[in-house]
This record gives sequence, structure tokens and C-alpha cells, in this order.
Amino acid sequence: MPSAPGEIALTATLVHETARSICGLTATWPGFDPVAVAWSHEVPPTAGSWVILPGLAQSGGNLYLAGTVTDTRRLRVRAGGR
Amino acid sequence: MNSGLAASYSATGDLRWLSVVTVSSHTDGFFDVVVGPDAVYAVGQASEYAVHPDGFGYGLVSKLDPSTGAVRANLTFGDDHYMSQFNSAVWIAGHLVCGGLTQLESSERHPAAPGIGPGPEQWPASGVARDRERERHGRDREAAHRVTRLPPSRRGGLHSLWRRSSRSALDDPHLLEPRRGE
Repeated sequence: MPSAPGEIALTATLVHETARSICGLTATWPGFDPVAVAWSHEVPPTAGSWVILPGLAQSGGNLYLAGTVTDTRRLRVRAGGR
Repeated sequence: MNSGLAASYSATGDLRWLSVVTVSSHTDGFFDVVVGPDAVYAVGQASEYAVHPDGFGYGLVSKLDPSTGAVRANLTFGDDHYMSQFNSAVWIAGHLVCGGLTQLESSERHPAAPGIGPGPEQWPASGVARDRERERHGRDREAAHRVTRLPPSRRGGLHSLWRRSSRSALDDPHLLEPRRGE
């Protein structure tokens, strides 16, 4: 992430049990100590529960996430669906 | 069944948009996200379901509006005779480059590693453990496919890399529907 002189700003996804969060971290640079959590927000799965959240990218000052959720709105298909 | 979820946050952590993407009547999902000059591309797998022993699914590219998250197009890649999926993607010189696998084959004696296996029997029984295992292997696969271009192989999993013009491919979307297990 764009960072001020003397520090580095990072963004990461966090797995805590069934929840997934996105966090902004800052640390002094180049010492990288201490590391502080600037902000953290749980990403709502909205449709069900989280399966995986592996995708994270940043562009133009914005962050983008991609993953997979169980979708309780969808009917289970009888032959082989899951 | 699963769906893909894409979201965007501001640099200060404010939610800009969130989209749940469903492209088939089976399991869909995303494994990576890439930002192009005029769109966000989420890649993964569409129409996945367990067919013993090899599984089934298509590689999926969803083109999303970067301002709203609205789906502009969904593209699937593969064949209705075997499993395919995209694990990662990068944007290089005006092209979306995706890496993944196709024509996956496995056997009961040598099951595929979690994350590239065809069915739920490949995962640990615990839901949380399964999710963590899947997440870990997803990241492993992502890292591996970012740096590796492996030659095609009929056995033990095939790794392929597609290169498509974003304009010609994604402006002409099509969606293949599964024929097996219906």
C-alpha cells in the first residue's frame, strides 16, 4: 500500500475460526517493529458462511477481495451438487 | 452449494461494494482477483461437483465493474469430460493471464491433495479444519502456479496456462453448462 516515509503500510486477510476479516497494518520501516493494526473489518459472507478467501489485490488506492462462500439461498442439486 | 464472493474496500477499510456471483446450478467459487485497467477479474471454478473419481468443473473468469462490483461477463474454460479450474491470475501487457489445472485424474490409491481434489471426501471431516486446510492449500497452489509453468500431462493433474485477449474474449462471453450428473 502507499506508505509514508519511515513506515510501511500493509493489508492482509485474517482467518479467525469461521470469520474472515481484512486488516490494515502499519510498521516502522526498515525496522519493521512494532507492527500495529490500523483498522480491521470482518468481511460478511452475506449468502452463508466462508469457505475460502484467498484473493487480495490493491489498485488505485482501493482493495479487492475474492473468495468462496456457501450459498444458503441456492437449492442443493440432487445429483452430485454440493 | 457455493458461490463466488468479490468485494472492494477503500484504503482505510470502508466497504465499497460486495458481490455474490453465481454462474451455474452447481458449486462456483473464486481463488484469486486481479485488477485490470477498466475491470476487476475474479478467477476460480464454475459448476464444480463430485464425480467419482476425477470430479468436474470449469475454469471461471468473472469480469466485474470496479466501481460497483456488478458482473459484466462470466467466462468458463474447459470441457464437459473433466475438471478444470483457475487458481491464480495476473494482468500482463494488456492481457489477463490465468493459471490453473485441467484434465485432473486421480485414483483411490493416490488421491489428489486437498485443494485440487474432486470431491468432499478429499477434505478433513472437521468444517473448520477443512476450511483452514483448503485455504492453506489454496495459497500453496496460488504460489506454485504463479512461478511455475508445467508441461501438460494426462496423469496426476494437468497444469495449463491460458492467454486470452481481454477485449476479444471477455467482450464475447459464453457459459457452458454441464452435461454430466444432471
